[in-house]
Amino acid sequence: MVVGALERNGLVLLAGLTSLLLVVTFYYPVGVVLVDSVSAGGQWTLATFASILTDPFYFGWLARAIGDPGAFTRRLIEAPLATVSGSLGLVGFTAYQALLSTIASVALGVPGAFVLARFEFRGRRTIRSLTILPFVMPTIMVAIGFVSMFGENGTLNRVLEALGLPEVNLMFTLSIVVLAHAFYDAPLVARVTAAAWEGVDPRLIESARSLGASRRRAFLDITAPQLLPAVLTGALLTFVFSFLSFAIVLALGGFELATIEVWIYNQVQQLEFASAAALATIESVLSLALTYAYLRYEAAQEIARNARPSDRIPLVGSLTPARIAVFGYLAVVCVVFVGPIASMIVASVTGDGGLTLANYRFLLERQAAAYDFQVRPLGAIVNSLAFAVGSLLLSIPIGVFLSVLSTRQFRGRKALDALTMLPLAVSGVVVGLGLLRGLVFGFEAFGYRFTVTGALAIVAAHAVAAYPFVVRNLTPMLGSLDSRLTESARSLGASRVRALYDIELPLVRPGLVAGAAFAFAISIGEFDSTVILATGADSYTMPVAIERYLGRRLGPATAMGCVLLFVTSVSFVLIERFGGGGRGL
Amino acid sequence: MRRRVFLSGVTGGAALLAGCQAEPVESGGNGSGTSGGDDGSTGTAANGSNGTTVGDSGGEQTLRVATYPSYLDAPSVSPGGWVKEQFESTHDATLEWFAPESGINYFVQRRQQNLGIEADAYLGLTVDNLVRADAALGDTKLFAPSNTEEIANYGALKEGLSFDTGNRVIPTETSYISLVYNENRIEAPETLDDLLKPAYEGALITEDPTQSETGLGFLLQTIENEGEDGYLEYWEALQENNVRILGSWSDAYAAYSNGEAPIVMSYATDQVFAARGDEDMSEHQVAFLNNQGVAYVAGIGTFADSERAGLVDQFTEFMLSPRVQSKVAVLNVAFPVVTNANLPENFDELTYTPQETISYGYDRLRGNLSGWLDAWSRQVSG
Amino acid sequence: MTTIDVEDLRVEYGETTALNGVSLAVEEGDFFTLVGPSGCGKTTTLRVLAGFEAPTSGRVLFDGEDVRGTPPEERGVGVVFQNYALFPHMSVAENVGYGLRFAAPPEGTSKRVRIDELLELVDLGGMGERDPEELSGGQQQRVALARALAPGPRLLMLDEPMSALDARLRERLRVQVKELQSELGVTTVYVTHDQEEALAISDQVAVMRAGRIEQVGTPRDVYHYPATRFAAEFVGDNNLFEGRATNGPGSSSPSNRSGSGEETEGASASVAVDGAETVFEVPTAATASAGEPVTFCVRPERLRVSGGKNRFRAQVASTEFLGDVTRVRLEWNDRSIVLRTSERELPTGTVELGFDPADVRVLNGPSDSKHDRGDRAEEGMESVSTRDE
Repeated sequence: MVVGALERNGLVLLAGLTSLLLVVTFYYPVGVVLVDSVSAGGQWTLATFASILTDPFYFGWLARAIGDPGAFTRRLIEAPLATVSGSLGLVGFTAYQALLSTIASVALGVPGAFVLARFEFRGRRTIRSLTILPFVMPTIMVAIGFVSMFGENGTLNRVLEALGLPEVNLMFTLSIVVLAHAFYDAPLVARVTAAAWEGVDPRLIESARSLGASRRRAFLDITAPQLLPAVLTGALLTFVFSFLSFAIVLALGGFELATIEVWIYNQVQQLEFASAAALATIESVLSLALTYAYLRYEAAQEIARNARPSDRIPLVGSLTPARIAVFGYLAVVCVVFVGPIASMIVASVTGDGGLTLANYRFLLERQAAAYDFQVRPLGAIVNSLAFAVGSLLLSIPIGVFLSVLSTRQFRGRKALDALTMLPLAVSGVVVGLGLLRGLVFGFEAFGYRFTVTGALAIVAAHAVAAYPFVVRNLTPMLGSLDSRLTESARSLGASRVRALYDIELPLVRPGLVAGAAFAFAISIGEFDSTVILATGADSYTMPVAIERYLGRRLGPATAMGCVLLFVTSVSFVLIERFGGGGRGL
Repeated sequence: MRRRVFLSGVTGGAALLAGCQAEPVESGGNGSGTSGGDDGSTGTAANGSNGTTVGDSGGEQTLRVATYPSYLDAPSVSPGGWVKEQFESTHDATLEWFAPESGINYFVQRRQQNLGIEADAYLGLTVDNLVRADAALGDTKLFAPSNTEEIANYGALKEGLSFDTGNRVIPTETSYISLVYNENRIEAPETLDDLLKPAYEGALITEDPTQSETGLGFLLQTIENEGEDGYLEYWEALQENNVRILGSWSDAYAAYSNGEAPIVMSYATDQVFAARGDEDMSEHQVAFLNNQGVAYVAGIGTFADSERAGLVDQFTEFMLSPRVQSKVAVLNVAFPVVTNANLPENFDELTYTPQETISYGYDRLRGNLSGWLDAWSRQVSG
Repeated sequence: MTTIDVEDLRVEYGETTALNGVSLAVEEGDFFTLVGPSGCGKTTTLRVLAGFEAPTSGRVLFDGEDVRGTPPEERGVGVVFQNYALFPHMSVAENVGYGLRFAAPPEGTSKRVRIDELLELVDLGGMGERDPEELSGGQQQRVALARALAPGPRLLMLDEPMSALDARLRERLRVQVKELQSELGVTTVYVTHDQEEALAISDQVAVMRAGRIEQVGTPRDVYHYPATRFAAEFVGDNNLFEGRATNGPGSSSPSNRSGSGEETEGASASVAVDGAETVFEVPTAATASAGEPVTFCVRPERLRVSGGKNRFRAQVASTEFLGDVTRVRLEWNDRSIVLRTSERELPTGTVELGFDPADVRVLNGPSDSKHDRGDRAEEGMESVSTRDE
């Protein structure tokens, strides 16, 4: 009976759960902070926005255009080039570095997709599973890895030196920031593009070839157009993530390369909440507008999924130009992706006097002798895994629900789609601040003050950060399912929820697994919300442990970072093996 | 299968819900937030006091002290555990640490929202913390003045450390902000102007002054020397000479340790730690620019809401006692704030004091600090 | 079993009207076919019946009970789709058994037995463990049918179930479907664009166009007595003539060349066909008085070479040999005329065609929409057309 009722009202229940979760752990907290941007001393005002929009520090020459359009137009007529050239301010620079990061991620990701989709080699599936690894790495770890790889005394320079080549100085430049963004996002581009590549029907290419198209021509005319939506999905996400980047910029680039998010953090540190909130709003509006434009484009694309992928080419074999190119690419991968991780692993076992296990010994000692208010490594591992599983169990139903909603036709659907992506497009600093004010401080209702902290709150916050990935993985696949399958099931007596469970979900299982992997990864790597919502050291996770173990020497933190890498690598291989391999993002 | 998922969800949920609480608005509003004892936001609260928290309310009191996270949890320099053990063994009280991630800003915001403060004191309060809190809170006071006469050994406090004339903060730790450099790679600059020379191009890593005390100290030193009208010009020149400005002290120190630059803005107590780790001292040389050191001072502030001000005073007295000062100086790698602390033999050898100390008191910074920081931030990132 | 009543159904999507007032009644156990060109609303009607779509207005009654708000799973309808929509991740037996997860099999049988029974019924015994994609199109169709029938639906609905199959298989299967349906006695609504299939298989046929029903009747009625010009053209081949009455009902045309007026039963009228000088005698159209437009049609098999009362000469343009008959296309006054003949000797060159007034169906009626007439008046010329299937 209960199950029957659950089934009948399943979607209503999911809608309720989703709304509750999003309102409590996202919209309310973020709203609490953003309202500061339009209120001052109990009065509503747009003064903060006005002063930011007309400040050349933020918007460069555009600010003058917003501030005094008349004068700007006159100047524009007199000297068009001089008027619109020069800096676009903080916002312009943020967009510029995000664009460079996007280009770098696509350039590094698409060849990866080619290798993953078209070649066969030992360990291909494992490597594919591990491409999600960068997502679990807290920025501290990436920064440590990048310094040990690309720093003045880093692995790269030592190798170059050994080869008698000149050293490269990447630290504190825009290049290394862009490279670190690509480290995070190129694997994402590769995953989503590889999935699309595997979906290209080989018969189409065969037809094109039989009609006289060269291999190259067939790629350009048949394959490339089918890859484009996937590449653009990856590019969009990369742009939005890089646009909101913060810790990487400060750790590798420095304050001179400040992005909007760095500035928001700066303002929050100084308790200037109004301008922080206004900047965060501008930041989100820009990200969301781009997301909306993309979603409109995506909806116009036919997603054809093919049951029979093309045969893969063995990677090992005679040296064809394609294989030479692939090996060249793999060399780049070794430098950009393997390098930082390997350098960090090496750093964790080296000390002043060569090889040492002291850093791991520290972890054992801390485990054995920690005070209650200190983070224990094992506790952090257990918490990380428990929260990840919890946020998986929460973000999957929510993601599924929003995907189902999104595949229905109704007015304003695209706007809703864009809104479901909001958690990706809102400043992390603001979300953290909102969680503090809205949940840790609590909210008043019915004469009570409710505070929401601890494990449940952490899991909920992780789920909010993760569900957009579930949605993005599922929506295209669900949308391409024949609706008559569901209708058949329903006419045979299945409720809507039952049809979803029996028919649709099994058929989009690869997308579901891919979404689950992301949900897991996001949760494992999350730091900000965790540390704010934790009720103490007993609810800290691995990234928090890494941050806490930082000191004058990086050793203990790198050791903990390696533990994180090991634990999550095993988890991913298991998730994707158990889940039957993931197509999708 | 599906049913089981629902069921486990329900039982799991009950345990997870433990962190979600509701209490009537009246008591949560303006009263003392500490009365409840365990409000679920502290490290030690979770295990209670040997499971007898409720029963023995008659005798033992609980003191809740907030501080910054690394005081409790950094791999080596975390005196929190020792302090707790010692305090509890000498006093009939339980010490609970509480380290919100956003530090003092956490409490400023609680006060801004008109919420109770769930701690009795804040340890590690600096002058810029106090200035910022007061600027944000206006007439609402976050901290109450201490009655210094009640605190034994207060008289032994080194001169010039008390930055708040209102005695809201009693200093407990101090150091000097200085350059740390690698003598194998570079000769120490002697003056601020030296740093602008080609020899020091790209040589210095410093920190964002809104995020770190060392970065702030350096900024204040440039203001002291170049004046309010001239410091931005100096920084412009410094930027042209490729100064590296990273976020936090750990960001900067990590980059220095990796050899990204030969000089980092850090503390004059740097060698104490290096000696403990048997590190190469040539990489931990200390130098002062213009023979000046900016004083870093942090202390204890009693929250105005606390109903246990007396106990806080006992704690302050404990923290100022020569025994604790000696030990914490080593644990926390800082100078003691009292003159009568017994330091290990080599402590003097490993630490440096400048000829001239630059101290910025509360009154000097109040009303100026945020303007300086703003102007600096805009110039550097513009 | 079940009766279905549909009352004044309207379905609108924004500006578009998919169903514009559809009413029909399906008798218990009937095989009822909705036939019409694509976009006419037949599939929408089926979807509303199944509960996949809610009508903008109007009612659907199952056994006299309004099913508005009843979700598909509680309506007891079995649906077979054009592409069969077999669940690809389930075996044939799991597909057939899916509906039995929600409805107990009939008294005295188990789920297992019921599945086997149904597979036997559709000649797929022993195929239960296969995957749907291993089956041929015809087999898949039968699995879909078995699946729809398994829970014992009140109403079986088939949406173009044959259109993906080749012609021979189609004919065989439709016989099988019809036999199965009569054996089980399940009320069935069948959707097709193939009028030949509709005529062959149905108890009742509803001809649909542009969201409306043009005509409902037995296949014979619809074929022989099309109610509208559209029905006349859509169902089977037909020759349409448009013209004006030269006299009122009941009188005989003076210019009628035939002298055998007494053969005509009842009243008749004379019609001067547009663009031609010929005047034909047709059975009276009640409303047609002199000068009024009259449209009538004559089936190709009713045209005779050198026979019939109304005669005209036409030029042979092409012939198609279909085996049992030959279809001859002819030209007459810039119009195309179709003749079906089973004679071995085929007409060539110019031939004299004729037909009797008794074989004429006059189409002027209220359901011939104004819109259409307007179009014709503007175009002026075109008045006879034929339609291929």
